[in-house]
Order: sequence, then structure tokens, then C-alpha cells
Amino acid sequence: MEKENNNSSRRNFLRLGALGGIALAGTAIAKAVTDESPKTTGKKVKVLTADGKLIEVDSSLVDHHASNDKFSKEEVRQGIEGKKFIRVIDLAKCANERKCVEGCQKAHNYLAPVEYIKVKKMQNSALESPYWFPTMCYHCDNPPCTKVCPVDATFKRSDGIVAMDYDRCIGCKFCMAACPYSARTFNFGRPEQIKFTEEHGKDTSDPNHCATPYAQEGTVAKCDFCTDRSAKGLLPACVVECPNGAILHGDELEDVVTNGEDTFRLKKLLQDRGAYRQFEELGTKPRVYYLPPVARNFPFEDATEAHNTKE
Amino acid sequence: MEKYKYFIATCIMILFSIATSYAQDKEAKIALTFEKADSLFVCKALVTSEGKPVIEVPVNLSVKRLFSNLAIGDAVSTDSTGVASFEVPQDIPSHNGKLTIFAKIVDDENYKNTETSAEVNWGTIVVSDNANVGERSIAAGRSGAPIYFIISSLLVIGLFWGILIYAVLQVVKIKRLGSLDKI
Amino acid sequence: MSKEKNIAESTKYETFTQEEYMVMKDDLLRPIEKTGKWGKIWIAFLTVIFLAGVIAYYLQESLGKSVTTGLSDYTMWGVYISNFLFLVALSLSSVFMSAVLKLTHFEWYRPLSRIADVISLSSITMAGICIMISMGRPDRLYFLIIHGRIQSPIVWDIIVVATYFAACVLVLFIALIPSLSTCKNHLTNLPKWQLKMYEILSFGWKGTAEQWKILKKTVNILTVLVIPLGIALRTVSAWLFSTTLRPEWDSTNFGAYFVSGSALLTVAVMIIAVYAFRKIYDLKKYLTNMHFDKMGQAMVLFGFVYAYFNINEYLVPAYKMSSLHANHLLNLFVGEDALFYWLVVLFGIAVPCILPMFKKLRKPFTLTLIAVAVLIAGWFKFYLIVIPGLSHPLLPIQDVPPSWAHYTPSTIEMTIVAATIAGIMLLVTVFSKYFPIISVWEVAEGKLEGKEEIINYK
Repeated sequence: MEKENNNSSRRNFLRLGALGGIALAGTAIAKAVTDESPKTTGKKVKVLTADGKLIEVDSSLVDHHASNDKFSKEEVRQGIEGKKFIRVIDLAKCANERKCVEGCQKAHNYLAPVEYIKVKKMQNSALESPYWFPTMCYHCDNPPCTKVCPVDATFKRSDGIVAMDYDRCIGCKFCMAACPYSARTFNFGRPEQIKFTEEHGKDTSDPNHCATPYAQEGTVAKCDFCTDRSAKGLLPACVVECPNGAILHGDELEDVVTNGEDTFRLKKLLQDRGAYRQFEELGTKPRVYYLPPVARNFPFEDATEAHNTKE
Repeated sequence: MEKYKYFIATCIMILFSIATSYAQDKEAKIALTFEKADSLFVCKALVTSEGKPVIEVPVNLSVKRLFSNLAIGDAVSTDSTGVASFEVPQDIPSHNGKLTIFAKIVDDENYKNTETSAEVNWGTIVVSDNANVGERSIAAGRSGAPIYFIISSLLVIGLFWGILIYAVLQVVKIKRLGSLDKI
Repeated sequence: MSKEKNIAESTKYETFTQEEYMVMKDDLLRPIEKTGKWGKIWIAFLTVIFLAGVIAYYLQESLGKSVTTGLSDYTMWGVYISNFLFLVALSLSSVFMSAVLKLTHFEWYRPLSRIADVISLSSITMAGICIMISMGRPDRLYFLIIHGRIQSPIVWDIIVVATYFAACVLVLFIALIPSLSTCKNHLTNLPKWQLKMYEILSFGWKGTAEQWKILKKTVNILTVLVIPLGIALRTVSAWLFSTTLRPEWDSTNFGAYFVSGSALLTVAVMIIAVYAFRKIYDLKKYLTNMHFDKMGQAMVLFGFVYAYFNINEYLVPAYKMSSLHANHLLNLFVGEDALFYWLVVLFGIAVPCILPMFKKLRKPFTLTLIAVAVLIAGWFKFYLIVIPGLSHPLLPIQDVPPSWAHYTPSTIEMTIVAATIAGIMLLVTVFSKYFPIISVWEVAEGKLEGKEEIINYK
């Protein structure tokens, strides 16, 4: 098994080499190749290949994209052209392993008990079986939060993402009151978090690292669909980390969602699996769909311990 | 006992994978051709190895998307002429109508993994409908407030502040009357 | 010297003799001339609480809200916001205990109107401060101006608070002009700056017929203005809640519900203030038992209006008991907050509706006791609107630290809240030490009994 993986990543490396002239895959080979290349920047970036494998290549190989640079304020507000990010969550596959939660915390360099993505135990009635319900910012198309923001610090972008401008937020927390999904968190200035941000705030070592930092003290933070990763065609941390492939991320305009392993036509998936959106009746038009927990891969197992209880 | 079994199984697996990887020594090439037949979009993948067509080798066809490749149907084995033909759905969206189609041979017993890609103009052009983004609405930014909203707010604010300013002016008038009286 | 001269000048008015006027004036100006020992202790006490609040705020900002407050991601609006709602409620005193009575010719408003106006001004000042205290980034306050979105209820709130503040200042100080002229002319043994202040603020008042005409017209306009403005203020602060999708707040009734609650609280706060001024400044001649009788009746009226809105707010959703409401309502009716809720209903709604119906209980002391209960219950009522509303969101709260699921205000938060309340009392007390707390000319005007004459006193 090991061997095959190595093989395929070497092939990937060869293909990239053919396309771009230079490629690096795996640290040993990478070193050998960089010597031949005068143009490389020496800065490594991690990219996900077409077949879902993570490799490290020189940053000069990656197409130049605005998201690679520091976004100018206006660009952040515009969104990525020709994209409409969307998400489908397969409730039959969630087993409350909380890898998405931890992956997100690592990718954005923030600490528990703050969670951008949460997993809740839901049960509609006593006769029905309970199920695990991952929830995060739904990036609504009719977002109640952006309506109430007094200073335009949270806004809807053309690519469907509801983004935050931490430099603008005044911390009135009205968006948190307005969000019916309790998706937003506030940086109350927990000393551990402040210390962590000072030490690791600029840490990009996580393979799923997302350039959007954690909010400044006194401002509101939330899931941002890993904006810069999505722009580059890299799957967000929670999608990559989910061991069961329960979270499918994609572009509505391409009509495709993927968990990195399986790729589905979006509309067909929604139609075949009877997808729904949480609290459709509120008219918020979320961009996150749920596939009901039917035909589960495994029976529901209740959590044996309370999670995230540390203050 | 359990551990022992596990160890044996692992050894066998390693041996098997070494064996299979040595077996995959032949290189194959895939050439993609696209044709429209009876209003169907057909993509043909010709697999050759050392100049000869390869038969009975499964080929996977997929189309490139932002995050991953979308498989087009199941794998199709090449026929006696070394060709695997696929029907490409006609409703695959694309920005400019172009689709990047990938053909792959993966985990075959005799051939090394290989892959080729080609562009074809078979995509359904989708336009990102951003009409609502620039629209004036309650949810829009500072500059995107609806005109009626701005006008009515300014009217109400103006009315109240107008009266307040009027009141201040009246105080000024009282003061002026007071000083006139002195003279 | 000037006193005698004035008496000579104004004796020509038959309807309201200068002698009577002078007696009244002396009564009203006495508190300004000297402050007793207890008065000083009282002011010092309030100042200490207020300064404690300032220190608490400094600690909150320097240590971080995580350590100093009980707020969390679910209950991110704590006692600051519920206190803000309470203070805004009090700031409608000017509307319900002055403007409305004035326009509907309830003559007993005359000695009350200035007390109501000064409570309004103090409360709206503290309410404005409360907004800033609850902000995560007070250093970015000016963003509201440079980046403000007119679509946001917060911006409406800021605008209406600022406008109402300005209106309160004008209502209070324009009506003060003739009184300050009296102060300037009759108070001599005061510090120089104070006399200078009276001189400036009386705006060259001579009491000429034309000045009277302008003054009365302006006061009338502002009186009319303050009613829609006050109601807008209260309604917008209700909209901060009812523009959200949370079921417990998502009510078309909310604005009117808040206005009605505000009416009841202003009566209660006025009863307490009138009782205090009457007792301490010995103003029994002006703030009579009749006022308590009337205010007691007003309390019953507003109490029933408030009860009506409460029935609409709580019992109608409870009848349906949709799953969206059940969580929150059952918590209040029979759950964790039940005792708290029913005490608030008892003291905040039942007591003001029923007890002042008995004439015996509309006596100053008993009515003041009732008012204190109503006011305290009123404060907790807003707590019960804000905090349980936040801690019962649509999606259940799970996997959070225990302190996130249950909000308890910290000592620092309570100190700041106490400081805002002390701040109001301090502002009212200090005001009454520098300005006559009863509008001399308005009371005098009342004694004309409808006659069109202008009393030219100085």
C-alpha cells in the first residue's frame, strides 16, 4: 500500500514537471529538483492534486491568483469571479468524530472552546433515531447578519461567501443576535487565545492552513468556507479532515460537490437524496444543504463524554 | 495470536503490492478524440502501448472541476481496436464552454498508471448571476442602501433636526430681543 | 436691593401676586443656596459608586472581557444591554410624565415636568454610555459615522439616541430660561462661576411679551416633538430585538410592548423622585398628595396597558406552544427561570395594576414603596427579555463549557450597571443643586387659571 502511494505521488510529480518545467514531490525528491531550477522561489506551498492527494510544490509553480497575495480590501469584498461556493452535508456519514472541529481550529489558529464548526446531537421526536448534525456558518443568500451590521463589517460576496472584515468590526454583536443558527463567535480576549495568537497567529505549518486569521480581540469571527483555499481549488480544512467524507464542498456553477474522494453532480445529489436546508421557513436561503440521515453507514452511537467543556 | 495474524497479513500485503507494482511495467498511452454522433457527444480514448492498440484495459474518464475531477460514468474497457468510448453528458457546466477531459488508467494489472487530458468545447456555458450583488437592498453595503430608504431616513432625520435647530434659533432670537431691550 | 425693585415692578399683576410668587420662589431656590450634611454624603456616595464603575470599565478594557465579564458566544449581550433597555425606558419620563400631560391639559403636570425632563436627560445620557460599554471595540466608535450603514437598526438607534438627547437638552434648558433669570437676580451669595452660568444660560431674558411668546411657542413645539421622538427611541430599541429571527423576540408587538412598559416605569421612577424631592427639599406645598393620587391612577392605567401587551407577548405564543417558542417559554413558566419570571410578573405587573387601585395606598409613602417594587421588577423584566432569549437559541446549545450555557453577570458588570444607575441619580441630584427643580413660571402660569396674561417677574 505504502509503495503504491509513493508511486502515484512520483507520477504526480512527473506530470507537474512536464507541465510547469519543475516540480517537487516529497521532500527528498524536491531537493534534487530545486537545484536544477534557478527560478524557484524556494517557498513551498501545499497543493491538493486532482486525485485528492496533498503534495508540496514550489510556490512558483502555482498559478498566480489574487488569493495568493494579500487581498486588497476591495478584492476581499468582491469575491472570486465566476464562483458560487456551496456545501452539502451527508448526515448519514457523520459519526461525531469531531475531526472537522479540530481541523478547523488548527487551520485558522484558534483554540477551543471556540468552534466555527460544531457537531450537535439532534433528535426530532422520541420515535426517530438521533443523528449527528454538523453546523457552521451557512453563508446564507439572504443573510440576516449582513442586514443588521452597522458598519458593513460583514458582507455578502459575489462568490456566495459571507465574509468578515475584522479591521472594520466594532464588536456590537448584533450579527450574533441576528443569526438564527448561532454560527458566529466573539473574541472576548481569552488570555490563552491571545497568547496563542501571539505565538502561532502567523503559523502556516498546518497542511490545511487557511490565510484568514482568527478575529482580533473584540470582533466577531465565524466560518469563512476557508476563502483563500476555496479560491485556489483546495478543499477547506473540515472537508479534508472528515474521516467519513460527510462534508461535500463545491461550486454551484460547476454543479459539483466533492469530499476529496467522491465527486457528485450537485443537483442530482440534492434531488436523489431529498436534501433540505436548516430552517428553510426563515427564508435565510442557506448555501449549506443537508442530506437526511438515511441509509446510514453505521448506527448512531451517543457520545460517551461531554466535549469542549474546558473553559 | 491476533497480533501474529495481523503481522502475517501485513507481510502478505506488502509482498503482493511489490509484486503487482513490478507487474505494472508496461507503459500505455492514451489519445483522446471527440466526435458528435446522432446528437450524442462521444469521447473515444485510444490506448496504445509501443504502437499497438491495447485491448481489455479499463479507462476512466473524468472532467476537471475546481476541487476535484468529476467521473463520467463508470470505467470502460477498451475494445479489440484499443478504443474505449464514452458518452459525455451534454449538461456539464463551464464558464467558457470548454471542458478539460481526463482519461486515466489506474491500478491495471499490466500497465502503469497513466493519464492524459484534452480540452473540448462541449460545456454548457453558465454565467454567474450576480445581478443581486450590485443591487440596492437592505442587506447591501453602505453605498447600496435602497434609494427610498435613504430618502425617507433623511427626511425623518431632517425633520426632527430641523425642528431642533429651529428651537435653537428661537433661543438666539430671545437673546437678541434681550439685548435690544437694553439699548 | 434688586428684590425690592422687582416687587415694585410686578405688583401691577392682580391674578398672581408678587408676594405669593416670592414665597414660592424662596421655597424653590432654597436647595440651591445651601447643601446640607446629608446632601453632601449622598453626593459623595453616588460619586464613589460612579467612580467604581469607571474603574470597573477600565479593568474590563485592560484585562479583556473574557476574564471580566460573564459573556459568552451564546449570551453575548448581557446585563449591559438589558440595563440599556431599562435606562431608555426611564428616559421616556419626559414623554409620559410631562409632554403627554401638558398637551392633554392635565394641569397637575406643572410641578412635575422639570423633574421628568431631568430624569429623561440623565437616563438617555447613561443609556448612550451603556451602548459604548457593551461594544467590543469602543476605539472604533467613529466607524459608525465613517462606515455607518443606514439599513442597520444599530445606526437607527445611535441616531435616535443622539436626537433624543439633543431634544431633551433643549426641552429642559429652554424651559429653564425664565427660572435662571430668577436665579440670576435673586441668588447672591453663590460662587461667581455659578452666577456667570445663570447669566449665560438665561440668554438675556428680560421677560418681555415678545420673549414670552417665542419661549412658549418653542416649548410647545418641542413638547409635541418629544412624543414621537421618545416613542421612536423606545421602538427602535425594541427593534434591536424584533428585527432578528429569534422566536422569542420576533414579534410585531415588540415596539408597542416596550413603549407600554416604559410608560409604567416612568410613572414609577417619577413617584420615587417626587417623593424624594418633596421630602428632602420640603416641597410639600407644590408636590402634594394630589400628585401621588394622580400618579397612582396613572400607574394603574399604564399597568393594565402593560399587562395587556404581556398577555399578547407571552400567552398567545404559549397557547400555540410551537416548538420554536416552547424552549424559551417553558423555561420561563415552569423551568429554571420560573421563580424569577413569576416574581417579575407579580411585582412588575400585578402589583402596579392592583395595589394603587385602593385610594389608601395612593398615599405618598405607600405608593413610593409600590413604585420601588415596580422599578426593580422592571429592571429584571428586561433581564428576562434579553438573557433567556439568548440562551435558548434555535439550535440547541451543546458541547460548551458550563459557563457558556448559563450566563451570570460578573462583579465588574454589576458594578458598571450600578454606576450607570448611580450616574442618573447623581446627575439629577447635581442638577437640583444648581437649578430649581420645579419650574417656577409654569406653576405660576397654572395659577392664572386660563387667563391670557403674562406674569412679568424677574
